[in-house]
Amino acid sequence: MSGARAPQVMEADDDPSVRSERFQLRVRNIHKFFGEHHVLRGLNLDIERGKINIVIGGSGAGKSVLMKHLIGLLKPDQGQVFVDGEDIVQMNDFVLNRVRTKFGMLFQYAALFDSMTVEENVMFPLVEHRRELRRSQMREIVREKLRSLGLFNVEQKYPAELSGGMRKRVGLARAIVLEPEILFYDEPTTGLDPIATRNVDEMIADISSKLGVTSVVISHDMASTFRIGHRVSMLYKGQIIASGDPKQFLHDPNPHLREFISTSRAVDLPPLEGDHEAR
Amino acid sequence: MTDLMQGVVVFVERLWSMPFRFFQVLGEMLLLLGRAVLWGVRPPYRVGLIVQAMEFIGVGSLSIIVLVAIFVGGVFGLQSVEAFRMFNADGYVGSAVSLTLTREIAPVLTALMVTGRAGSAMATELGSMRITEQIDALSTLAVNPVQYLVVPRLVASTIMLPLLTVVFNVVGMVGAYIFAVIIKGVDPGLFIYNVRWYTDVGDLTMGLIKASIFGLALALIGCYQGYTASGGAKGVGLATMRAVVVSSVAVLALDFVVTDVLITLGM
Repeated sequence: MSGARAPQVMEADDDPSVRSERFQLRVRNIHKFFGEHHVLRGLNLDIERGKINIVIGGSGAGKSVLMKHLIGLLKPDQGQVFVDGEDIVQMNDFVLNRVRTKFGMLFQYAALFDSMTVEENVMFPLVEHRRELRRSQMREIVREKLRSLGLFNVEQKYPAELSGGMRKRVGLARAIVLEPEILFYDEPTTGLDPIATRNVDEMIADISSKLGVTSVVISHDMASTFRIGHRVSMLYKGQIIASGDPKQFLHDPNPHLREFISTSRAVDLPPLEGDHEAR
Repeated sequence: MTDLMQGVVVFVERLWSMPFRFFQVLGEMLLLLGRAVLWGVRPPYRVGLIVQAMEFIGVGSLSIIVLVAIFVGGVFGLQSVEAFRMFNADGYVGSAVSLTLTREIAPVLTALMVTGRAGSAMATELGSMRITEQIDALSTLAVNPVQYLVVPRLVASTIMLPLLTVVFNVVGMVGAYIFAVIIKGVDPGLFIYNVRWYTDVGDLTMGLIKASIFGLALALIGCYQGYTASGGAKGVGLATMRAVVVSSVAVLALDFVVTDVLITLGM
C-alpha cells in the first residue's frame, strides 16, 4: 500500500458492479456539493468483507457525509456506491429499503427513539421485519442481545435515564438484533472516557469476530483505529488519500496522513527511509 | 453609505428570492405528499399508528374545540340578534348562524385550533427526531420514515378534521341557542324552524370537504417543517413557528380557493 494515493486506492481493477468475494462495499468517484461547497471530490473506497474497516479524517473532512452516502441516506451528485455489486445510487426508495435490511448502524449519539423504552427500541427492528415471531420470542431475543453487551435490567428504562456509554450499547443492540451483514459505526468512541472507549472497541471487535459482519467505522480516534482496525483509509478534503492495513499505514509518506497520526499521539510513527538518509 | 448600499442590495436580493423560495417550498411539500401517497398504498398499513395519531389530533383537540365553539356560536348568536332586531327579523338568527357555521366558521376555526395544537406538535416532534438522527435511524432500520411518520399523521388529520368540524357545528349551534333564545329571548320555534328550512346537507358537506382539505394541508405543512428541520434546538423552534404561521395562512388562502371552486360547482 505504501504511498497509496487517491487513484491507487481501488486495489482491484475488476468491475465493481459484479459481486466481489473480497469487497462488500465499493465507492467509485463520488462527488457531493452542498451549495457552493464541494464536500466529496471524486472519492473512491473499498470496504473489505468481514473485516473492520476504519475511515479516519479530521473534522470537516466529509466523514459523516461519506457515511450517509454508504448507507443511502444521501445521493451523490456524481458517482456510484456498490453494495454486493448493486449500485444503490440508482435504486428507488422501495428497492433501497430492501437493501438496507443488510445494514445496521450505530449513530454517534445512538439515535435511540426517545419515546420508547430500551426494550421497545431494541425490539423495533424485530417488530418491523420479523413479524412471524411472537412477542415473547422477541422479548427473549432482546434480553439476550442486551445481556451479550453487558446490559442488565434496563429493559423498562427510557434512553434519557441511561449514561452515554449505555445508550451506545443499546444502540448497538438495536443495530445487531436483525444480524445484519454490514455494521456502520459513526464516531463510536466520541465523548466517552478512556475505559468506556476501550469497552466500545472491544465490543466492535467482538461483534465483528463473533458475527463475521463487515464493519465500517468512521472515526478520528487513532488509538482505537490501530487497536481494532483491519483496514484503514484516510479521508482528506473529500478524497481518500491513503488506504491499507494499519501497519503499512504507519509507513505511508503522505504528509497529511503523517501529520494526522503524529498529532494524535496515539502511536509512534516510524521514520521514513528518506528521513534516515537525510540524517 | 457603503453599509446602506449593502443593506439595500441584501434587501432587494431577499425580496427577489422570495417568490422562488415560495415555489421551491411548495414543490418540496408536494413531493413529500407524493411520496406519502406512494408509501401509503404499500403494505405494511400502519393502522395502529393512524389510530394513535387520530387520538392525538381528534380526541386530544376535542376540549379546545368545544370551548371555542360554544363561545363563537354564542357571540355570533348575540351579534346576529342585535343586527336582525333592527329589521324586526330576529327569527332568522338560527339560520344565519347555522349557515355561517357550517359553511365557513366551523371548518376554518377548527383548522386554526388544530394547527395551533397538533400542527405545531407534529413539527416539533419530527423536528427533534430529525436533529437527533432518529429519522435517519428509521431509514437505516429499513423502515421508510415517510411511511412511518408522515402517512399516519396525514391520514389521521384528513379524517379527524371533518369530525371535529361536526362537533364544532353542534356545539356552536348550542351556544347560539343559549345566547339567542334563552338570554335574548328569540322565539325557540322560529330559531329551530329557520335552521331546518335554510340549512341543507349541501352546506354541511361544503364545510366537511373544506375541513378535510385543511386537515391534509395543516398536517402536510407541520410534517414538512419538522421533517426538513435543521440547526439544533433553534431550528426546531423555527420549524414549529413556520408550521403554525404557514398553516394558518394556508388555511385562510385555501378557504378562499375551495369556497370559490365549490360555489362554482353549485354547492
